[in-house]
Amino acid sequence: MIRLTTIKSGEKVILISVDGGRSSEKRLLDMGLMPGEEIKVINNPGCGSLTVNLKGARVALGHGLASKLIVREA
Amino acid sequence: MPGAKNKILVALAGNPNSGKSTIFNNLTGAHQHVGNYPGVTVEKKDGKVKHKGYEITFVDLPGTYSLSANSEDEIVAKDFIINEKPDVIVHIVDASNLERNLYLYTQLAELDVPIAIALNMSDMVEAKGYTIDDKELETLLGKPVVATVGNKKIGMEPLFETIISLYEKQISIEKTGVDYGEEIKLEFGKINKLLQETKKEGNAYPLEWLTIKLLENDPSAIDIAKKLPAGAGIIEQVEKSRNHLRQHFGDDAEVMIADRRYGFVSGVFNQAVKRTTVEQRYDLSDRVDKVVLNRFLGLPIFALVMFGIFKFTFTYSAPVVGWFEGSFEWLGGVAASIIPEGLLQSFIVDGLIGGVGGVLGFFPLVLFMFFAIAFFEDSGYMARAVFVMDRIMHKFGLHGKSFLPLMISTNGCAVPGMLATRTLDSKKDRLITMMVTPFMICGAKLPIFALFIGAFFPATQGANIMFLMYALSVMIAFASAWLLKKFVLKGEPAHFVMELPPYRIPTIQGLLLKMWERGWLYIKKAGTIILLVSVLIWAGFTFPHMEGKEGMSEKAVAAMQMEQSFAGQLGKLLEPAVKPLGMDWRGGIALVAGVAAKELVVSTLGTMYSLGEVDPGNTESLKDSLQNDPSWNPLKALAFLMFSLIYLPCLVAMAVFYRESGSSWKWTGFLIFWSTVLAWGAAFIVYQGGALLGRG
Repeated sequence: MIRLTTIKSGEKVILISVDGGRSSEKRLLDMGLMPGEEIKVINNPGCGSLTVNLKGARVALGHGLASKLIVREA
Repeated sequence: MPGAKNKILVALAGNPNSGKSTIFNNLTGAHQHVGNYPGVTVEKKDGKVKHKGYEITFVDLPGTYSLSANSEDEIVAKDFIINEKPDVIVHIVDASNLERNLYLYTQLAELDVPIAIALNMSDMVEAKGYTIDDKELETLLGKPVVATVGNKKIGMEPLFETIISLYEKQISIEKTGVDYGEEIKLEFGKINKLLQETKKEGNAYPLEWLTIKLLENDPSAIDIAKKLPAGAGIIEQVEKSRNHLRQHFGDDAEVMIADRRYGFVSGVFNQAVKRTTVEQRYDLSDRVDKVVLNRFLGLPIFALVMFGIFKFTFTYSAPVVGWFEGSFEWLGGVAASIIPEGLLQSFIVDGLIGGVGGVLGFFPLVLFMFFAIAFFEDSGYMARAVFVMDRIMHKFGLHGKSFLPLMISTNGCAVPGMLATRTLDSKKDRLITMMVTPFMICGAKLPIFALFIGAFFPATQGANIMFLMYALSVMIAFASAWLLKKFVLKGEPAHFVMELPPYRIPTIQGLLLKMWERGWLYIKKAGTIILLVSVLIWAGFTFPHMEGKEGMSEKAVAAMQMEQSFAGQLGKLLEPAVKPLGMDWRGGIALVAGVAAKELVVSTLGTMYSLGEVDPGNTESLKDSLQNDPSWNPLKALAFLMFSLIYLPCLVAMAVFYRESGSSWKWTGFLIFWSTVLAWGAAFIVYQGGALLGRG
C-alpha cells in the first residue's frame, strides 16, 4: 500500500481509496478526491501535509487526510 | 421578484476565488447594501442598479464548490436560489480553473433557473497554456457565455445585456446536463415520479435537483422530502434506490454521481479547450509556495507576516488616532464653552462627546487593521496561512479554517469572525471555533487595553504589555478549544482539504471596499447602540438629582451625585462581586455597560470621570484622570484588563452566536457561564496573586 504522503513533488499517482474513512465523504468528492482520480503532487515538503493538482486546481491537503489516501503509480 | 415587470433578481454564484466579489463590485458600483455582518462574503450582499428601464438586484452568494450541505455557506447559497427563486443566475467561472468551476455548474443547471456564464479572468488563460473556445462552450452548455475580466471591468455591459435578454426570454436555453447513465437514470425516474405527484400539494422545489440530491443522501434534501405529505414513501424509495445502486456499482450513489458530473465536465473541457503548449508552464504561485509552505520556513514566514500586519496597523494608524482623539477633545472644549452650564451641557459634553467620542477615536486603527487583512486575503496568502496553521490548530482541537475567524476578530470584530466559521465543514469544529472567537482582542476591546496600558505602564513597556495581552488572548482561546474538544465536543476535526488560489495583486478598489464594508459596521455601532447606551449611562449618573449641603465643596457634591445616582446605586450593589478582583463599584458598572458593547467600558469610564470633573473647561483626557485617581494602581489595572479580556461577549456577538449555533440556548448559556467563570477566576488570580507578592 502506497500512501500519498510518500510521493515526491512532481510525481503523478492515481487515488485508490481513502483509508479508514468513507470514500463517499461529500466534501472530498466535491473537491474531486475520488477513487480513480489522477493526483499530481505539486509540493511535498515532507511534513505530512502537501499540495496537489486536482482537476487543474491547486489543493492543499492536511496531514491527517493525506496520510489516509492510498494511491498507486500512474 | 417574479411578477413585478421591470424588476430582475439576479444571483451571482461561483467558486471561492472566482473573482465573484470583483464582478459584483463592478456591476453594482457604490449601490451596495451590506446585509448584516459580512465576513468573507459569508452573508449575502445585495446591490440594486437601474439599467435600460429595469431595476436589477444583484445578490452576491457565498463562494461554494457545490450545492450540497457540506458547510453553512453552501446551505446559504443553495437556500437562496431555492427559496427566493432568482430570475437569472450569473455563474462566475474562473476560466483559468475551468474544470473545478464547471462542477458547480452541473448542479446549478438542475435548479430550473436561467443561467448566464461569466467566463472570468479570461486573460489569464493563455498564461496557463491553453485557449477556450467561448462559442463551443456556449453550444456545449446551451447557455450564453460572456467573457469578462473582473479587475479590468471588461465584459460588464455584455453581461447586463445577457441578463436582460435572458429575462425577456430572447435567448433560448437548451437543457443540457450530466448524463448519469442508465442505471442511475432508472432510479432517478422512480423517485422523480413520486415527487411529481407531490406537485399538486404545493411542492414547489425544483424536482430534478431534489431527486438527485435525494439519491446523493443530502441531509437538507432529505429534510425537505420528510416534510412532504407522501414523505415516508419517498424516503423508502430513496433507500431502495440507493441500496440497488450500491449493489450495482459497489460504491455509494454519491460517488457515482460525482463521478458522472466530473465526466460531463471533462467532456466539455476537452472539447472547448485547446492546449497551446504541450507542457503546462511552471507556475509562479507554485514557486512562491515552495518557500512559503516549506516545512521549516512556513511558520517563521507566517509569524513575520502577522508581525507585519500588527506593525502596520499600530505604527501607521498612531498619528491618525491621535488626530481623531485630539479633535474630540477639542470638540468637547468648544461645546463646553458655547453651551451654558447645566443639564444640556453635561449631556453633550459628558454623555455624547465623552461617551461616543472616546470610542470613535480608535476608528482609524480598526480601518488600518481591516485594510491589512483584506490585503492578505486578496493576495492569496491568507489561504496559505490557514494551511500552515492547520497543524497547530489541529493540536488544540481546532481546524485550520478556524484561523480566519480568529484573525478577523483580532482587532476586528467577533461577529464577522463567527460568520466566517460558516466555511467549516464539521458542526463541532464550527461550534468550538465560535465559542473561542470572542476571547480575541477585538477592535472594541482594544480601546480598553490602549487606555489602561497608556495610563498605568511606562511608554517603553506599553508595546510589550500589549503584545503579552494578545498572546494571552490566543492562549486562552486555544486552551478553551482544547478543553472543549477533550471533554465536551469530542471527535476528530474534519479533514483539511482546501483550494489554494493563485497569488494575485489585489486591486485598490477591492481592498478599500472590503475595509470600508467591515469598518462601516464599527461606525454604525458607535452611532446606534453605543450612542443609545451612552445616553442611558449618562442619565443613570445624572438622575435622581442631588442637592449639595451647605459647606460642601463642588467636588464633593459631584462625587455624591454619582454615588447616589441610579447607576451609582447599581454599582454599589455589584461591588461585592468585583471587590475581590480589586475593583470598586465604578469598574463594576463599566464592565456591566460593556456587555452591551465592549466600547462602552471606555465610554462609561469617560462619562463618569467627565461628570466628576468640576471645571467643564478642563478637558483632561480620560487617561490622565485614571492616572490621577488614587483608587487605581497598575495591579488593579491588570486585573481589570484580565477580566475585560475574557468576560462575556457583547450582546450582538451573543445574539449571533445564538443564531449560528442553531438557536441553541444550551450552548449560548454555556458560553455565558464559561466566559464569566474564566474571567472572574483569571482576574482573581492576577489581583490576589499580585497582592500576595506585594505588588498591590
